[in-house]
Amino acid sequence: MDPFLIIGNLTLDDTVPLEGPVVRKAPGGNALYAAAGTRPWRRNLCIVSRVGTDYPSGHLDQLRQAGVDVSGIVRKDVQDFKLWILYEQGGGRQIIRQLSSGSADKLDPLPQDVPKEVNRVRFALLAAMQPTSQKQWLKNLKARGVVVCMDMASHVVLAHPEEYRDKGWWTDVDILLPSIEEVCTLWGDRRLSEILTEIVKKGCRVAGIKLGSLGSIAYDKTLDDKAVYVPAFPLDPVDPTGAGDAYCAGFMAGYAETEDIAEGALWGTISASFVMEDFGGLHALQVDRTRAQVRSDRHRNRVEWIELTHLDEVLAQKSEQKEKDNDFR
Amino acid sequence: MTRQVVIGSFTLDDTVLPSNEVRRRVNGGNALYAVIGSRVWSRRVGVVTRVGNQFPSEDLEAISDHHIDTTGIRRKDAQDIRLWILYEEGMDRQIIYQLKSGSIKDLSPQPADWPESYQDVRYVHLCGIPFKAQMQWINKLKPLGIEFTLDLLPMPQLRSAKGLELLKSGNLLREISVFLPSLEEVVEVWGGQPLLPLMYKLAEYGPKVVAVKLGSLGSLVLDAEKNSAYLVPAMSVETIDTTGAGDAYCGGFLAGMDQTGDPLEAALRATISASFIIQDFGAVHGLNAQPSEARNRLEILRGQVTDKVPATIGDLKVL
Repeated sequence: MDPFLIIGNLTLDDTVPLEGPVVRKAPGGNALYAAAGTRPWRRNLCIVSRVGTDYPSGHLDQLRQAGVDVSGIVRKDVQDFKLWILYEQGGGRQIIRQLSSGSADKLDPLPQDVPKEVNRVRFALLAAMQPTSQKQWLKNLKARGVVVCMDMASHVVLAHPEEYRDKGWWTDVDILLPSIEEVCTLWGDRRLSEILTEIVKKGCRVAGIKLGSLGSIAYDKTLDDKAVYVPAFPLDPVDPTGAGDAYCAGFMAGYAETEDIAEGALWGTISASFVMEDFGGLHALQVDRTRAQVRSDRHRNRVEWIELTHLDEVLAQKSEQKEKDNDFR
Repeated sequence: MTRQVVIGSFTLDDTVLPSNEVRRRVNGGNALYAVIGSRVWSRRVGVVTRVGNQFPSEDLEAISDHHIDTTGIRRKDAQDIRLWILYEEGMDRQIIYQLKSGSIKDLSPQPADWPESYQDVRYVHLCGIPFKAQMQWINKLKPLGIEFTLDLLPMPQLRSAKGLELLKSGNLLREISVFLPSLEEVVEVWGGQPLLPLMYKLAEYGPKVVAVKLGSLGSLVLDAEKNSAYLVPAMSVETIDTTGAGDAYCGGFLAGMDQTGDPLEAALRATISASFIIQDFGAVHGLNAQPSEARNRLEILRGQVTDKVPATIGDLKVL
């Protein structure tokens, strides 16, 4: 089977949980979480990324031992990406760059980093990076006929939404899976059904929106008038960091194998659930397909197809119900 | 009668220490650390600030019980300012707002908060609050014959272009007597020149004293009237948490300037105020600093000052 390319960043994170001491320098980064989200479903995957001088080779060994091709991870003589992940009392999480962190200019991977041996690729996940890097990749991958699933960089969407609005350069994307926060920033307070159809009109084949603890929706332009809704897998997350990246990876795996967005959204949901069960991403690399299959089979009956015309109303009801359930708990 | 006043913020801080320990909801804020730093030397110090609805009343009572004039503290029906204070590798420190923090706009003290009873105030320390607010305070209090010590907002992301212009043009410095930035702030605003000559240049705008806080290296103090510079080393004490050291330094400087009129004496007191603050977490413990111990430290430190500023510091390129 052709390998999946996972293109993104590897970071060293200092996480401050709600209780207890800070967890320093844990391996993170969207490429790692996406690999963890792919691994349960697909054995053959190759990470393309860059690390700095401090990135422990032990982390790369762990990836290798989990069967991930790390030949596309290039070591650069620069500071690593170093992040703070801050959980706050009263809810919410901030992710910010540390003062001594390396920069995206040096650490975003570029097409020349793809190992020569990896010459036949059909699917690539383009994780959140600075838009200039993503543009280069899109051009390169489209020229090679690769199907691209892309995630947007939240901090860019929030600070410089014009980067993504600008001429719709991301219309070369086949599957676009933004989060609800990104969607609201880019398209304002509009109906989600309208936004989904607008994204596919721009050129994407599939558009999905990650709704956090409510789950996700997805829409395929070849299917008229219906979107698929998958609720989040029921569990108390230990650390939701990386859930969005794992979702995108699982989605791509499901869609690549079945060409069905319902399976895509379901597999994505299951991938995210494993990543959230502990801190960091390495633990989820150990999940095998049988475990993932058991979980997805349990969750499959909760997948719903919803008429686009009713989508927003149905989601509003679900959100209300969820709040009631939370109050009850 | 209150003679020295600190104007700034009280905050609730979550601090991530180099030891990996996380201290949550510690009472802090530049004005709290500064006024406690002043209190080491003075029983005639007051504070003007605004607190939100969660700042603990018992802590306000504690500072009042320790002879700090709290008539300038206003409680607002708003979220308190809540900060992350993040120590990173190599002792770099970042300060950022928490998501649910109140806004500095709502909680920055305004000139209308100045108590009428503050008739005898001679010296005011303006903590790191937005430049515009600092300027408004100067406009209100300068006509009363009050002199100012000034610190800068330690969050570069919050310094507006207009505010920076106010600082760089000298329009703010012209109005004050003592300028007390940290080395990091000097680097961010005026980077690219040797430190001591830069301090002389800043003094030309108006301040009679420029003292740059150098962290564990102490402070470099320029007495422009005497045309003298001194390196005042940091006091060697067991350090638990350096948060607030710079603010406590400013508070000690404020008391020292008013009491002695001598920049070097003020810098010594400033350094000792900071030494008390770093010996434990948070600010409130500093209320227990003993006057005898403070005097003791003053004598020790006086013997360690040099007016031969080492080239490593005086020529330090603030790049």
